[in-house]
Amino acid sequence: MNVTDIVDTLVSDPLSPNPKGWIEPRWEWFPLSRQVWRGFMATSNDLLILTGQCLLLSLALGGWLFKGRLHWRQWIQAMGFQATDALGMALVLCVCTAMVIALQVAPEMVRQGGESYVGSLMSLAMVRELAPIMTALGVVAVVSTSYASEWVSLTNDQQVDALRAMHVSPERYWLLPWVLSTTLMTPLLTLIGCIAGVWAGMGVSQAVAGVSPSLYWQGLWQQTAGADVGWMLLKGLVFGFEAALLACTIGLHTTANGAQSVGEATTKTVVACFVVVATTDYLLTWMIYGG
Amino acid sequence: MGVKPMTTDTQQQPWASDATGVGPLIQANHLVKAFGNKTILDDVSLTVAEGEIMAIIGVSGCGKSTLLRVISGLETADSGEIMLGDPNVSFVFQYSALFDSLTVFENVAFSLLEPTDSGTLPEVLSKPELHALVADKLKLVGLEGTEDKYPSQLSGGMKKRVSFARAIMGNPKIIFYDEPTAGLDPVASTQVENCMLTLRDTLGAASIVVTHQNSTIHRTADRVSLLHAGKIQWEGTPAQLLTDNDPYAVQFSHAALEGPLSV
Ligand SMILES: Nc1ncnc2c1ncn2[C@@H]1O[C@H](COP(=O)(O)OP(=O)(O)O)[C@@H](O)[C@H]1O
Ligand SMILES: [Mg+2]
Repeated sequence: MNVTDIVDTLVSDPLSPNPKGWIEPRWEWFPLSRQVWRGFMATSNDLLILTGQCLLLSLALGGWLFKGRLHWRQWIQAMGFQATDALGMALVLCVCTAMVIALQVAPEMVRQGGESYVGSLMSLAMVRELAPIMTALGVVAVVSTSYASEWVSLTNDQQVDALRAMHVSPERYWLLPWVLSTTLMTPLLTLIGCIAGVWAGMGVSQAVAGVSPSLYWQGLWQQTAGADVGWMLLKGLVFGFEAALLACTIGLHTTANGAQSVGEATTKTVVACFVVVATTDYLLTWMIYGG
Repeated sequence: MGVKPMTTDTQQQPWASDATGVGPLIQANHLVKAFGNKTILDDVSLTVAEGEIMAIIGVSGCGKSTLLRVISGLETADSGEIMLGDPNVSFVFQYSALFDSLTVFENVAFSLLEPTDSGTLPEVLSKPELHALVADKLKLVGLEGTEDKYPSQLSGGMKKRVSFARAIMGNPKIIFYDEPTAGLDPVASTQVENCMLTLRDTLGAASIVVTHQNSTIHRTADRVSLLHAGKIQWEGTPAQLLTDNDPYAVQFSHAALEGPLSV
């Protein structure tokens, strides 16, 4: 397939008539590719539906929580899973990121006489931005994928039906503990990741550029306000909630018919989580620091 | 495809039993169920009385599981009416459906350990009582001593029997069995069939069993319904299944390739 072929397929009209009845421009006025337009419409459509499904699920879960029907044992188990399995991932990501920043920035800063700014830059980078984002990525990789695939597998071998048949709501039994624990654990993981990252950053700064630790900590504390830490925890809370809710919603709405559906739900979850976490990160940062 | 207004009533209403006291425990009227534009159930009606076992037979994919799921309320019908005469309903699933994070003991005792959604707590039994009860049910299906194992440590047939034990834990009055003996060895299969008969005879349970297995049809069923193309095409006793000259019954009982069941 050469370039002209690709352009041809994009601009030609293989999809007409409009398969889903979506609103379309007058094509004679907009000689735009219909495939691109329909791809855009399909994505917006999916996004809208996913948003609605997420809202409905969070309302349902909120209802169970409000009625005090949380399943304690499942909840504690889920917290344990995150504290052990997701913590390692969050630590690796946060520590490596902080070390890379130190590696890139510290020698340059020292050369330009800004040794005392290494710590404050690290605080800006890690506390405000990278600790929440890197931890969220770790949580998506470990927790969201596990929940999306587990739910579809549970549906596949009728464990969901079996629970329903015994008058125990599977949403209450599995999804509520999952979402609640991820929402509560992610800020904690973020905090731990941030602290570990800042320490590792100090080590690297000292090793590669001879930044004195006391100067590093001084700069770091000057830059870090209590509010920054608060906002960091809030970001962790929001990202954790999103990562778990998306995994559960996508799992819940995937038709469970074998191994393929497990893979499909998992991939969809990772993509959706990355997009949503990245977008809300920008929105939150803009709301907190942008004005 | 007949599209009727939504009249599905899956609430478990007390069934007004007739003067003899032996009213139907399961009654389904004019069930219609479609997935997309594929109509799986097209006006299916059936009645199962107290102390009766009805077998549903039919080729794979004809909608037997769907029929059970609709009648038991796991799936909603597009239209039709369902009346169950007792709230104590249980379901034996086609796949074992055991909770794989729980031990065999916790699985079998699940309904006695976990409060339901409405917050109803199970009747509190002492630990020894609970263990005795679970051991008793496991013995019925020939799996004594497996309490501490996890489902992943059991064979397919063993899992199926544990799931059977779990389903009969609450002495249900209405039971739906989806291929309870498929994949079991002949001895285990007879154990399960005997359990089904015990439940019918001691509790007067009404049950519907989906099965392909001749032994299960002939040892347990009081009546047989043959489902095909969304409708019940033939109904009779297991004995009639062998002798009737209805083309559906003939093809099924002779496992013939030619006949109305072929597509
Ligand atoms: N949730 C579902 N969504 C779409 N199609 C389904 C669903 N469940 C069952 N089917 C279809 O309905 C038909 C009947 O399925 P089923 O009741 O499991 O058959 P049986 O138990 O008789 O083998 C099959 O063709 C199956 O593909
Ligand atoms: Mg089936």
